[in-house]
Amino acid sequence: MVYVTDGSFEGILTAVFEAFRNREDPEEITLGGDFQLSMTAGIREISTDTEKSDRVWRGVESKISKESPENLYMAYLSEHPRVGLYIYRYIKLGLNIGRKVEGYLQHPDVHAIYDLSRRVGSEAHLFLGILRFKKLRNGVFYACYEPDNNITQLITDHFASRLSDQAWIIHDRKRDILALFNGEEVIFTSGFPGIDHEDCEGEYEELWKRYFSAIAIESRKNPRLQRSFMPRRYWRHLPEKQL
Amino acid sequence: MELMIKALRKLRHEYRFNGYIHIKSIPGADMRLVHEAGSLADRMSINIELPSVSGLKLLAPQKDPASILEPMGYVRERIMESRELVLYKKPQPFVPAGQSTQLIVGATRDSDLKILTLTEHLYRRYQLKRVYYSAYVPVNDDRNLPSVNTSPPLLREHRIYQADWLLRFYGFKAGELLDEGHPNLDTHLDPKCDWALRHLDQFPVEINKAPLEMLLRVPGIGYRMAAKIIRARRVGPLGFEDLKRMRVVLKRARYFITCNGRYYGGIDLDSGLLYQLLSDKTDSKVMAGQISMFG
Repeated sequence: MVYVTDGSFEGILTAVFEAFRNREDPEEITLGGDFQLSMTAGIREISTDTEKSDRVWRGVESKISKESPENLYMAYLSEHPRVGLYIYRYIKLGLNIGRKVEGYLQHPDVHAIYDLSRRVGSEAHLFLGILRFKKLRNGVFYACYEPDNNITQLITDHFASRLSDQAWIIHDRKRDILALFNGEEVIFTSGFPGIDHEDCEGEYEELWKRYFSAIAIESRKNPRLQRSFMPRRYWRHLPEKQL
Repeated sequence: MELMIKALRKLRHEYRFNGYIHIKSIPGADMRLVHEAGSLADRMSINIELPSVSGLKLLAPQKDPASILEPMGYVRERIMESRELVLYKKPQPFVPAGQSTQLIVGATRDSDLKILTLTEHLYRRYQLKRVYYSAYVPVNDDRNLPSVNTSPPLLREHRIYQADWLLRFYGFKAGELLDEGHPNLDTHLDPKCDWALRHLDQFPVEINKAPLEMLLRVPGIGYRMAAKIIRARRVGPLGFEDLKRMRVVLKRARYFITCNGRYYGGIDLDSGLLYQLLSDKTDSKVMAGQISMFG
């Protein structure tokens, strides 16, 4: 049986609820969109129901551990095509053995969640350092990036307090997600096409690029090491990497 | 030093900058200045630079070791004081991110043993947060300095960092890694592998039973992985496939462990093959041929 959800976290938890209620073991929990149809599987469309997803969340919290729901959510932000199924399997195992599941790292279902959640957290942490802001002519700071995982909501708090007296925009171009900060709160929205080069003040960008090359110590250059801290796929939005 | 403190005060009070500030203190500065700097900055460093008194005498004769170590001791005491909770008094933070220092590698003839022993002493006696190592980059020509043409000893610096990690996170002592007969770290092997090869009598260890201290000494098992192994084995026994799934670096670890009694290394530990297998310059195709002889 293949469960088709709308791709939201609540949708996945609703699917989990349904799986338990129907005493079924889905072979796939899709995140909406396209999915492969196997010849023999039936399809069950899951309509997201927050009452059901809330019950699952609270059940996980009380019967497994207080931290588990958050780990599951972090794994979800990876947008991995099989994360829905991993979440279901983790919950099933967790309801069986309880809080031990968190330490049960050799188990494939547990390790799947652990690994995805770790990757999401690592990428968020990385971007606290490599997110780059440009100043628009109207004074707003604009940062554009294309993360592997959906981490924007994980980094806004940091920037709200670090750049607390500046208006800024963080733009996930891949997913068309915008976080806007006006000095008081963060608002999420979408539908932004991006900015034009003329809209920006280039002075500090030039200074930054010059600084970046000036502090390099020739005899210590190590391109491989640099790439491991700043992976090549992120270079597009790093001014210091534009020659 | 006064100018630096003036800048610090401006940052904190005038510009209300609350972010991280790391200040480098100047040896010989008055303790009152050191005290003020420590009340404003997050981290303080005094760079020792030269790892031995003789090195210091040779290259910077105008400095004396006391002028460097005395402020370090002073700061340490102030830090400890600031961390004690006193009733009814608001805690005054003092260098909350701790102290650090730097040693230059390769400007003098000091061995790795000298550097690591000093490092160990600094961590223990002064409770430094970090010791940093910097490979000597020649700029000036001087008969007391290495020639301007020498390239910076980056590999040596890297090995020393690896050893520093062993001291801080893996429970090693400097004396276990090096001694008078063997005062420098191996170039082809990282210090942990090197130690393991010289103590093969302690291996293989059983993954499911070994204490944390021993797990930490297995090449291919880091401190985070060791903690994962301990958590996981409380729930169920670990097999070789489980370790693979958990991403233990089996390429190294397999020679040093057993899983439920079974050994997956495929070689005789006495055979002396290990140096080749673990060394950084291995030609893996050649080695594959040799391993198959042992089945």
